[in-house]
Amino acid sequence: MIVASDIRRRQGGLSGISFAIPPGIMTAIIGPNGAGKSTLLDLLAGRTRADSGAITFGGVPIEDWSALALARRRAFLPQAPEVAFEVRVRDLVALGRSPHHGTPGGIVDAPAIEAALKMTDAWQFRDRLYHRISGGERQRVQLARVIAQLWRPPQAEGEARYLMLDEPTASLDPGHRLAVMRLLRELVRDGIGVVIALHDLNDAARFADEVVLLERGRIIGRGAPQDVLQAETLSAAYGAEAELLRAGDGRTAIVFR
Amino acid sequence: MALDRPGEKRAALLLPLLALGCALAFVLSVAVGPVGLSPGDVFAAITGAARDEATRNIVLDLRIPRSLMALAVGAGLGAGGAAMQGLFRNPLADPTLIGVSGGAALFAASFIVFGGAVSFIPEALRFYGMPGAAFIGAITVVLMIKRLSQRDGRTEVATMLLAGIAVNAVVMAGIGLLTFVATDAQLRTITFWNLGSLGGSGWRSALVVAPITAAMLALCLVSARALDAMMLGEREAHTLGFDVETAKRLLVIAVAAGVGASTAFTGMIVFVGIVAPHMVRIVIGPSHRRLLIGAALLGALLILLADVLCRVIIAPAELPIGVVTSLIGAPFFLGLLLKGRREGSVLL
Repeated sequence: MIVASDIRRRQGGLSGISFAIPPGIMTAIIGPNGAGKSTLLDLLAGRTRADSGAITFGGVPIEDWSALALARRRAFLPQAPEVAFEVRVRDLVALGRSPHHGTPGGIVDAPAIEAALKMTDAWQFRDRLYHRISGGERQRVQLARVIAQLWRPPQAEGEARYLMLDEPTASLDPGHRLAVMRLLRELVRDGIGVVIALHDLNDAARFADEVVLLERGRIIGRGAPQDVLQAETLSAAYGAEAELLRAGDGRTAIVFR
Repeated sequence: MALDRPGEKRAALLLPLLALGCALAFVLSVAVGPVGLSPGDVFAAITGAARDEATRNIVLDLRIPRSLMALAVGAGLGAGGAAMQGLFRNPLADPTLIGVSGGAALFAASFIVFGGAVSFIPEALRFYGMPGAAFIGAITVVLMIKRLSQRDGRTEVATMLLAGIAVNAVVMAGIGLLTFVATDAQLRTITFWNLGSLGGSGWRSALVVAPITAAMLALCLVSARALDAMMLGEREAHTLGFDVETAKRLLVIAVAAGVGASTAFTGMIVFVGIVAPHMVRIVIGPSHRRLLIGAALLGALLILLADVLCRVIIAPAELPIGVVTSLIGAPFFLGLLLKGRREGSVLL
């Protein structure tokens, strides 16, 4: 469980943020540009510190975790990952296994990398150079890297793991976007807590178990998608009139006028 | 990175080849000179069976310390270049290009001219004061350039290179000023910094540079996996569980000590620190455990061979080694820039 109590951070403009993220569900953080989604995600991942308030990860204040111990249980995919040198796809994914070196888990590197590459449909370009593949392919490879970081052998027991992603589908076409969202659902089924900053409200409605709606650094809505994603709330948050259209099969689509 | 199969296979070939090349170049470097010797002569002198006293002295007192110096300086520049490139996340971060060697040279030259005035340093330690001063000069410049050129964990290459130009200009001006106040003897010592030379190497200097270089290589290797992760940026390396701050501090100190010590005794030898790591990376990939070793070996090989060239091209006189490394390194550097531009490389 990750618990945030009354956190505030001036840079990013967050204040009065309190909520809990249980393991094994998908939590979507939504909100307009500049609402503080990325800042909140960084704080929850222990990548930055709050000015005040507390975040606990597994009951322990997040600043008391060593970088290494935290890295074994939470992975983070930034919005625009950068890679400095020409590196083979497989090697980049192998970097995700870094926190496990020197642990008994370290010996499962090869299956972890293979599984991650196959889950993200990136196995076929494992031997190519990262800079020579397309933007969408790169995004899948980066996803494979963070999946490899959290990978455990099937049926292995262990403590709760979290995958945090900052708009991972922003650069993807609809087909790959859906594939990534379905893959994240699979990870949730395996017990990984997924925390994702999302722009696409329909994806949030369709895939998330819980939605946190941010506006100007504050939480203005939190709960099940159908409860939070209401026309009035969204209209207020995004400054554009939102409408919920009901499709024939009972699903709703959110559109802005 | 544990799993780069093609890289691993190539490294298994390349690294022993480079090591063998270094061994052969070392023997060549001991044999070649105004007095030509056969490998047999060299071997005999080492085992104490030299045909005469003169041969023994040439081999043991002149040539071997010089070759050892070449080996250490080359290894230091190669590995130092690899470490800096990993740290700056850019293949253009070479100790000479970004002014680190320059900072070392300026401080060492200042020590030569003004060190005499610091009367509390005992005479015996004065010799070691020079690499000490060079270390301080080098570390000052690395930290300065790093602060100037990095924003949000990203290196702004233009700032890095321009800052290097500025530092090198200050160095040249500083050394120029020093020549006015220097005595004739000091002047001679200072002059060779501009182009670099291994001509002044003896056992005393080689035995300072070699252990420092070995220590530097060891410290860099300790941080090899952190350097691998830094490929993703410092922030991501930290998110992956690495103590990035400690690794950075360790690397900066190691490189400043290694490059500082070699620059203090041999002057500025340019382009080896950029060429060696880059060539090795092309062949075996960016995994730093192998890259550091490969770049050290290739750097040593290049300096050993360049030093041999210096001694034979206009024998019995000697060319400054910096002339040779510049003539070979500069075209390579330009090629790198052009290739980067052509491919719209992410690296430049």
